[in-house]
Amino acid sequence: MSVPTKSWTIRVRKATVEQFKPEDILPDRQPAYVSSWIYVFGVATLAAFVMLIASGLYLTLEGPSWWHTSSVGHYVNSVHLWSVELFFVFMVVHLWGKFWMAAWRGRRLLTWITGVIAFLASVFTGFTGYLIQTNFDSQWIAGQAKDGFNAMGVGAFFNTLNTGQAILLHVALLPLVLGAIVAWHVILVRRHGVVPPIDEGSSK
Amino acid sequence: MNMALNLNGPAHFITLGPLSISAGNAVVILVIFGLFAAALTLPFPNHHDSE
Repeated sequence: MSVPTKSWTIRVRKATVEQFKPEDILPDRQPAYVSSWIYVFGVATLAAFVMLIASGLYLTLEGPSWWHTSSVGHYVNSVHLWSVELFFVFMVVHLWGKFWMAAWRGRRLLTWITGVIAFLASVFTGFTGYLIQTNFDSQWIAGQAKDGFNAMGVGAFFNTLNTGQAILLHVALLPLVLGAIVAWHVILVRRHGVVPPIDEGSSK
Repeated sequence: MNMALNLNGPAHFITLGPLSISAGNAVVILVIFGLFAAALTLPFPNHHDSE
């Protein structure tokens, strides 16, 4: 049997290995300028995101009213809440650092753009999380948000009082979308490297 | 359960004219500013194997 020299799998494999060299995706050295606390907040955001997914998976398995009736459920719900608080705190500090060091330099515009989209997607994911607390707070939020979405003209698509839609958005669609955007963002950082400081004089 | 900071109950709001923010939200924003300032000023432990 002859070995194929041209097929779509060979083309995809060659393009993938060319674009994502292992030493770039998982490097073992870093530039000296990365030795600063401001560079820690990206991975801190990622760590909080992992905790969000893990605690969210546990809540999903047990159902939306579990945290009202179980002390373990209350604890896991609290972990989920504080993970999201830390997620946004670290993400904002990361955003401020990247903005003031103009991190879109050196062909890193798409890294910046995916970061902006991830931020907006995170906000929307958080809003749907607010809606599914299954308590009077979330009922109030749903009523207020319904007015807002109706005013924006999207009330036909997003009914905040439809808890089923809110749960499916928060638990199924948005984590997948956000996970994909975050993965793309991290891959872009690994491909282009961490942006050098402005006074380095280079935009590599 | 007695806690040093009881997080149950309605939020306290800080109002300045048309602006209104919950105390919890204000604390989070202050923490963000504090972390940002600390990240820029605190020394980072340097290892000799970085380029």
